[in-house]
Amino acid sequence: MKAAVEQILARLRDQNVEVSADEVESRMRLLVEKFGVPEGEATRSVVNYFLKEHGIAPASFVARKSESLKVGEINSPGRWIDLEAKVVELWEPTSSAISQTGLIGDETGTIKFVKWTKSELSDLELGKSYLFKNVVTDEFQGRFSVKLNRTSGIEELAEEVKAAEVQTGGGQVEEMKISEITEAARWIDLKAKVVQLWDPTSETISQTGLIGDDSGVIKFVKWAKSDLPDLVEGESYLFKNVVTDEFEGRFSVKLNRTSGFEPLEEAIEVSPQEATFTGAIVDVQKGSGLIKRCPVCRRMLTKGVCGEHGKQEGTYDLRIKAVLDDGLKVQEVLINREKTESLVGISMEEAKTMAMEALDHEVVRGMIGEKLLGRYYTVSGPTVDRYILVETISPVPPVTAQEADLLEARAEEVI
Amino acid sequence: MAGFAREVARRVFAQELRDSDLSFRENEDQYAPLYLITPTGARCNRVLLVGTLTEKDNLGDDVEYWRGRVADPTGSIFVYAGQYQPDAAQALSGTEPPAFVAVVGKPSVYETEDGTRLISVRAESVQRVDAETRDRWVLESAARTLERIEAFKAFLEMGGADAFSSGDELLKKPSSPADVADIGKAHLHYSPDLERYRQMVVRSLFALKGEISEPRIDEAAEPKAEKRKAGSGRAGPAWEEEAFGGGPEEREEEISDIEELEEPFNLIEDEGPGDVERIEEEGLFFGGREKAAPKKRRER
Repeated sequence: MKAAVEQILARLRDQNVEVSADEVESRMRLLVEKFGVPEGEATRSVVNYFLKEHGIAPASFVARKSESLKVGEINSPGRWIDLEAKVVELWEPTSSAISQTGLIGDETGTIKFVKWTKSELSDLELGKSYLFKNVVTDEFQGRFSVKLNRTSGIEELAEEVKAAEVQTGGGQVEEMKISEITEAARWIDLKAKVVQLWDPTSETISQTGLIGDDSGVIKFVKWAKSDLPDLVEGESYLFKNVVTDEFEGRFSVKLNRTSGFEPLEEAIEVSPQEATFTGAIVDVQKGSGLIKRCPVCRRMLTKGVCGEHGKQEGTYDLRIKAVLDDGLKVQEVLINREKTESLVGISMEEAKTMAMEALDHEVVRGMIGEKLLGRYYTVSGPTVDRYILVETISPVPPVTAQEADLLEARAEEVI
Repeated sequence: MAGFAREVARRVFAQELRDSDLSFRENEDQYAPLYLITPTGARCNRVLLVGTLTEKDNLGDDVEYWRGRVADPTGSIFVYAGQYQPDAAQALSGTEPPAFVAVVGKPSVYETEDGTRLISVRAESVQRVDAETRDRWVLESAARTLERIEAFKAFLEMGGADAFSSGDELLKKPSSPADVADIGKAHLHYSPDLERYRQMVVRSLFALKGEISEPRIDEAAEPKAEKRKAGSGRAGPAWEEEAFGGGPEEREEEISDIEELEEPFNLIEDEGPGDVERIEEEGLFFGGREKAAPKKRRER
């Protein structure tokens, strides 16, 4: 905060504007602390605010004041600078407000750039070098970037700027197994088979579904803007330069414009991770019992409405979403219709009759809860995300005297 | 890694639970989960109790507010369910004691005016179960308690709370049943007599073996050793038996203020993703595949 205030004061002084540090600081605090404005943004806002107060147009101010820097010298946000750099990467813009984004670099390093749509600047080409005039530095979570806006300019350079190696998290893009994906925003290569394609839920997605290798399966999203050809279900590919993503603890990989893939001759063997868990059923969750599914996407309907496809007649299904717990860990499980029927001893037809008589589908979940809650089971099956898709489920046999003896012997040892 | 994990239901015997009075939140946020640290270092936001419902009363006037007493081989504890736990309240009202019940719920601490702290469990679910389930729970709770005692002993051998920062050995222990920090907290707050809890475990196993070998005459009346006369009205006998020292006035107070124990709905826990159906779809896909060798599940 202090540094930012100093910077603002210095810049205002350049314009012969004298403002007290307290005034600047209180305005900064208001923006940053009360309204959560990023510091770089707040700095700009405060400068503009005081300039305006003194009748100076910000544009004329910034146009005159920009220094020439190297990428490696950028160490504070909100500075207007000139840069000579080469476009080393172009990324998929995440917003229509951005016309281009990616990495530019010189011999001292690389830095992210954002070219706003409103800047109306012509497009940068990958691999070409430019003089970036009057761009503004920004900072987010300790990382700097430069922004190209309406007052910025670009001039292509005849001479190529030598750019430093791109520094990503682990250096080079590495080939990984699916089970090794444990963090977001890593650029990786994967050899995997397309095990399932789903209907994209948005026009921005050209394909989505699951890919798998011998270590597990993972969701993928291929953005429409990637302009990549279609993947074929059941085929194996080498996916190049895809980026990992994470949402609520679950990972996925995204294919964007810089990603690629090539078909593999050999078929990748897919085997999901298997797990076995023993514990007490501590919850039979909402969405268990007799449910209706959307005929298009198989998702559960809520009050006859599918989140994606609107009001639907729906088809009945019976399933259990339950939580097992052994006192140390929790394990969520999904039990399909067939296994639910044999476990609970009720057919789907009987469940329908039951629901009809009670005029309430929830009675089926209640009945399942009565049978399962608090009881001990061993389940096994493949794991996907945090679920075990139950293939076998059996009650834990009654305690034997031997089990009690063993534990008692152990208790005697702890003295 | 982001994502809100569901809290584990700890296994703690009634005796240990009733000895507990150390609760804390991890941060100031009103929705931060509340934890109870027990004397052996179990960190409980949720517990699973399986025992005998020995009495139940409706304490409410206009709105039903049910209190049940659940006994295990070591003691008993009160379980509450009101309008915010409709399923559990309905189950409590519909279960005639004595009966074996499984209770999943959140421990809550109530402090009386004289500073006495009382532990009860706010039930999320109450379900009638069989004797086999109760036996399994006793064995499991004995095992978990013993594991905590073992970890606690290891902690003390490392130099106790003084060696807190250098408790590397303990940290390295695979599948440590209780977090070292939790043991440290328990040590500082309770300085527990571990032998007492070890004996509690031995007693529970002894009672369990009696259950296994002897054929059951009247399932509902067990466990014999813990059978209590159904309490008369609001004043449960356990208040007198234990060191809570509450007079009748205090008991009334406890009852009238019990709503204060209600926490806001727990917004922290994620009760399931929207695309669970897709995962099931995947299940369909895997249905036809050849089985792979089981692999250890990745820790989340």
